[in-house]
Amino acid sequence: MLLHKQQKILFSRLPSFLELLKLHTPLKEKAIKINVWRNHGFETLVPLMQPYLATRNISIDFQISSYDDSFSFAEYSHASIEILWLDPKVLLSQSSSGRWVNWLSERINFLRRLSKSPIILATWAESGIDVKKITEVVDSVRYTFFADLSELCCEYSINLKDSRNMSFAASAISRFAQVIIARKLACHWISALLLPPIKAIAIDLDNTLHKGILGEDEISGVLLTDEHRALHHKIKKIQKQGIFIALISRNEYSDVKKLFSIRKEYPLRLEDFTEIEISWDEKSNAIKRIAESINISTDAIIFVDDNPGELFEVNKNLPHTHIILAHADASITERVIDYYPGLWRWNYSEDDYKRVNDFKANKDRNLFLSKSQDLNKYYSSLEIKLKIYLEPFLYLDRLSDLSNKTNQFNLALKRYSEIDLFNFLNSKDTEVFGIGLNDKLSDSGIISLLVAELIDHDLMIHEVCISCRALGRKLEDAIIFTAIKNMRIFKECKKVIFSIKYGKRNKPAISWIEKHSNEINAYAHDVHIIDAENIRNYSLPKGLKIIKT
Amino acid sequence: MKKIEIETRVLSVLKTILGVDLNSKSLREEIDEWDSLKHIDVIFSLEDEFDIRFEEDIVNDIVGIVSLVDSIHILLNKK
Repeated sequence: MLLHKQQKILFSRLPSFLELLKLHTPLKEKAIKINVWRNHGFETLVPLMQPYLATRNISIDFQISSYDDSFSFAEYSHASIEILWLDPKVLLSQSSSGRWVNWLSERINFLRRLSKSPIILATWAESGIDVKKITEVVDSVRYTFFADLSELCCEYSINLKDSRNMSFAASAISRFAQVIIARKLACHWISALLLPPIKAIAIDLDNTLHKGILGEDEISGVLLTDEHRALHHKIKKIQKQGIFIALISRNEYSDVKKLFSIRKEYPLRLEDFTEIEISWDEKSNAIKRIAESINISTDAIIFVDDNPGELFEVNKNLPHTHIILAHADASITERVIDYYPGLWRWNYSEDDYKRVNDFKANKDRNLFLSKSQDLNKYYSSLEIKLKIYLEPFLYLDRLSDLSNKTNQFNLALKRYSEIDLFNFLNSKDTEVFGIGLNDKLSDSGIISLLVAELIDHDLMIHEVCISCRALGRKLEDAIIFTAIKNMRIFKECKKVIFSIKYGKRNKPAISWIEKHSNEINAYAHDVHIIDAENIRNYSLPKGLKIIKT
Repeated sequence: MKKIEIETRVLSVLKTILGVDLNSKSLREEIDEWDSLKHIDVIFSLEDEFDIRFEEDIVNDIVGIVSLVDSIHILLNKK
């Protein structure tokens, strides 16, 4: 756990170069290798990044190339991430901006052919038009990201460059910019590619979301400072990026409810929290209940509290839950959360926010389900629609994401890239279906992927994934059987063979296939078989609607 | 600020950056740890410590503790 003093150094608005160097500790032996291809100095950033990386026990071995304006990637060897650390000045002095961008595109594509690892292009543009062109280049190359150094410095109102530095530091980047860039690289740009994503923030109330203690200072006595207000807005912004937020507080529920109803100026409202745990129970138990309810692991949760004792208790009982000590100065708490490695992501999709919304709607759905004995009535009361995407070329990013993220309902645990799925779609013997789901409570977006291949006269289902946000609605049969019935290659099939793999978390998927299959491959446990006739005879529950697109 | 106070703080910063004890007469060329890469850290750290900015020619002219302390003393007096 970071102490207040360290937090102040690491997460002040503009950290001190010297103070960061004082926090430097030696690298551990097992380090992740990152290639840095550069034409200006990078070495100064390495010790500045280290204290930030150490907060998540990340040890990185930066393999820094020699200075090379041609970016030839000579003596390439594999690394987990490729960084292009590029000062465009030399290159722009020799050609026009258009030619430079074309050259950049050619070099990035060349590196893409050499390496399958993510590429970060860390550079700056001299004009807004160039930013647009660079963004277009980066967006056109798979798994490549633009770290805009100029934009970052604008955010902090500091100069990116100090021309003096070129003569002794081999880089024009200013001292202040170096510190800000090091923090951004370590906590956001690199960590987003290395760490499993954080999925929820569980935050304390007293002396965290406001100054004071509700039980002692009473509703009118607790203070929402400007810094606390900014923290509320930050949490709301994070929630919009698909992170669940939960409130954990040792208080009386009625007092907290009254606080939020009276103090209308609090930007965060009680209904914004996906889960609310107000009790005198240990906070580790509250976190366990939150994790179970949201259906995530406790190691995907950050717990924020001003009381070191509470953090210690959580750390003792849930050692993998992330903990943050809330600072009396809420602007520091805000930056500690903002820069917590694993929270920030390179891309935020509409689907991320849908996940949070969907969860809230699920509570209402469960209420419908518990009230309704008849499934058909349940489906029609919610106006559930399944949308089958027969040729989902436009949604390959989401489908690949599903294949790589889904754990509980993932029959074969195969991880498909967009290119894999694109190739399946272009083959006459294979089909890829995406299935979308919406009802009157929310639009869940695409929640399922099926990959199938015609082999002799049988349909081989290579993979079935259903997002956890669609589970618990008793829709698995409808999703899978309806999709299969609509497959072009299913028509003449006699058997449907499901490829399966037993994993740590995919029990719901395995239980589903075991319930339905009438035959298990005699030679291996890795396939289950259902008679095609059984699927042909499957009839959709009355309240469900199917839309084909 | 007096030169002796500047010198104490300079030596403390250099100890942090270079990991070796220096004295008021130490020269850059005599200290293996004080290479061109560490020189960047030294300059940036001292700018942080004293809230100053060295000019380009001064950065390249620093040969040891004496020239460092003198340069900082001049910069602080100009403030």
